[in-house]
Amino acid sequence: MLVCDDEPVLRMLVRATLDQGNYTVVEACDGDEAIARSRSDHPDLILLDMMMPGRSGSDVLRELRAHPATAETPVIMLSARAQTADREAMSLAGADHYLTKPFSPMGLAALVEEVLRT
Amino acid sequence: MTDAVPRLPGAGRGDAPESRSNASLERENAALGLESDVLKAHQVTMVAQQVSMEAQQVTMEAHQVTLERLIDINRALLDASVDGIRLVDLEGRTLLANSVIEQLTTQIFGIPKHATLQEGRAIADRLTDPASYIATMDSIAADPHCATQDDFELADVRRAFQRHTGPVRDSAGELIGRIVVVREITAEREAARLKSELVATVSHELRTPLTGVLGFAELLMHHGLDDATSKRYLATIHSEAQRLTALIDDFLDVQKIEAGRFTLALESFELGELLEHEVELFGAQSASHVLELAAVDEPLAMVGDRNRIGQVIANLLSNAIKYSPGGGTVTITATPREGFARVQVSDTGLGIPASQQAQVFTRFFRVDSSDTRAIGGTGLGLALCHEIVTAHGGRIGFESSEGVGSTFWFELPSAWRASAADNRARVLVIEDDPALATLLSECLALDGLEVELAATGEAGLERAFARAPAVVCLDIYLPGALDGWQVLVQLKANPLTAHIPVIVCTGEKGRSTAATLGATEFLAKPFTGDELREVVARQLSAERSSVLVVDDDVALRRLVIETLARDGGELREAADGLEALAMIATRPPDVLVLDLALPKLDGFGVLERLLENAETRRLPVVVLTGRDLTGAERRLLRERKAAVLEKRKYSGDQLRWLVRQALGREAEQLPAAPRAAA
Repeated sequence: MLVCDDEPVLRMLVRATLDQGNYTVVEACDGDEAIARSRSDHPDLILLDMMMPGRSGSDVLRELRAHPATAETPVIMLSARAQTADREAMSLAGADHYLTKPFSPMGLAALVEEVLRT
Repeated sequence: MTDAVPRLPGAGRGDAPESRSNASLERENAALGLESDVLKAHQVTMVAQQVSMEAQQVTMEAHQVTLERLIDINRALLDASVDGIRLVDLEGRTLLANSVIEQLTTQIFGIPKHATLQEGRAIADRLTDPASYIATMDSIAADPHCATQDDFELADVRRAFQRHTGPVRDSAGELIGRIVVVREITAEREAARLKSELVATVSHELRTPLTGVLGFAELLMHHGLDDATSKRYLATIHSEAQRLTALIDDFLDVQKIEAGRFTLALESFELGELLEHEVELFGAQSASHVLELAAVDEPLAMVGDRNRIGQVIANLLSNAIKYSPGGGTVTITATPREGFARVQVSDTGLGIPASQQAQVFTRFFRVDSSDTRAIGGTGLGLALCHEIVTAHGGRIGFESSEGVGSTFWFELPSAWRASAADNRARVLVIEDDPALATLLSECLALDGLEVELAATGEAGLERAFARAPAVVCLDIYLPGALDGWQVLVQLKANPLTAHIPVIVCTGEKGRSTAATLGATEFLAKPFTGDELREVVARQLSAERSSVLVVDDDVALRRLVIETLARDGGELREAADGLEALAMIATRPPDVLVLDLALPKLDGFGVLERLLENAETRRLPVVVLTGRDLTGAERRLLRERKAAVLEKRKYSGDQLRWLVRQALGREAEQLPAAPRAAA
């Protein structure tokens, strides 16, 4: 499980949520680190923040999709913006799912479980 | 001829009574009369025709005049429009165009002046969305009766336009052409873009801490967590909620400043004391940091908004602590300079990467590196500091290198120190021509004035903010980024310099602009040295007023005097009612600032005694009172035309305004003093 968000509190929350389900959580705090980790740690699922300083979430996602190692890895986008345009941008970039902040940890746990099952 | 004709019918009627004696004659006459009636009727018709022809001629002449004027009026109306307007015939050829559209077409769109409407398609290649533009042109070509509205943007110059077109018919309803109205909407688009960007940023900034609060609260509700984990989650919820609050406060503050609803409550305060207070607060908050406040050798008396300046110091200290997470020493120094004080806060923390330094004072900026991410903050603190310091006429800046530390500093003018230091009135001359500048300063030196020269607008503003002059002489054409008008606007916008009279010295053209922007006097070049001296002397005599401050509280008296010193003029003080009367008897001031609760003789007693003397009966008075007034007292003061300022509502600006008002009233009531006396 790879979590990429520039906000430490959010990484902490995701970790606290997923710790309950016995997942191994790897953190990245920006796009570059997320891409490096995705290639070294081979995560089963990537949680990616949309709005980060430097490279945005959709830039990172596009790069993940372009690389053979991560082209098929399921990605859940986390976004503070819920407008239709943002959703379209996310699915266009190849996101499988998205969650709008503030999101429910229970909802996240359920979604993660569902994505990994399929 | 017109005169002769109407008399004819009258003459015929006059002949008739003479022929009454004979019946045949009468008949004949009757026949004749009938004939003459016919004749008369005929003649009347002719006259009527004549008159109508003449009337027609007059109307035609009138029409001619109206037509010429109508063309002028139409031209003026068209050219007054900020929109581009063009009327084209059925072939798309221009019948009428205003200057805006001519300029847009030839200079911005790059289309030849006489191109037809459809030839305007040539710009499609340069547009961000050529297809929609072409679609509109197609629908116009297909249906000459259609009305259209579309927006288009030039991709290369980033300018956006809105275009309305519609059919034009003559009075018979026949289609004669099409009207095209083009409005530039670049600024509106930009404003809308900035607004939606701000909304997105704020939404993101608010949702992040909210996610922490809600998320950890949910985890706490649903899981049997051990005590240590629960406490950790609760602490996170608490700190995220605090961050949310700070964010909202800071954001509202910044909005307030931007909307111009930000007022400074100016007062005198001791900067050294304020620094000590803030350092003490922050020193207690962090165990791993040492806050070192270097001793300040001399008192740093300032005029400003104490709370806001405290906010700036708090922000800088909080950043210094936050961005040196390993602990360490934060050094704070305060140094008096000529006319201003400099405060410096240095840390040995993470520093700011060079690539990010340009954005430090922009909203929502936070230093972004792997070391700084764990550090919270709203990203609004420094933007706010910048606004506050600038509003005081000061400057803020920093030096920083990554991994070594940062030094943030700000400078504030301490205006009253300067004006109290030198009794000689100082004139600031902002003029780039060295020969003219020398000439001006020699002229003014004849009157014993101290003259300071600045060759650019920037230098002029710096001098004015550092040490408020009594008068500014301002040239308009200046080298550098600021012209004289911009300098004038900045002088008037700054509370420390807004009251200074500005004499604009330039060509005849700027007179009304100067008045609009708040200049006191206007001297058209070329002017003589004597003219300049007279204008400056007029301003100085207005400035050189004498104010007597009466209050038994020494601290309050000092505050009032320091506040009023910024407007120049003589300031005297008295501690009780009798002393005040004695000083007034020796030499009456122009304005009396009077406390009501005074020893020996109270304020009402003083006012009563002043009324007894014809010379002091009309002395303008500003009453400062520490207690609520009774209705009778209020009435008494109103009758005496005294201005009243309650001490609990005291603001330096308010007092200065009341005193200036009082001075102005005196000047209106009395005939102007002879010039020779000044």
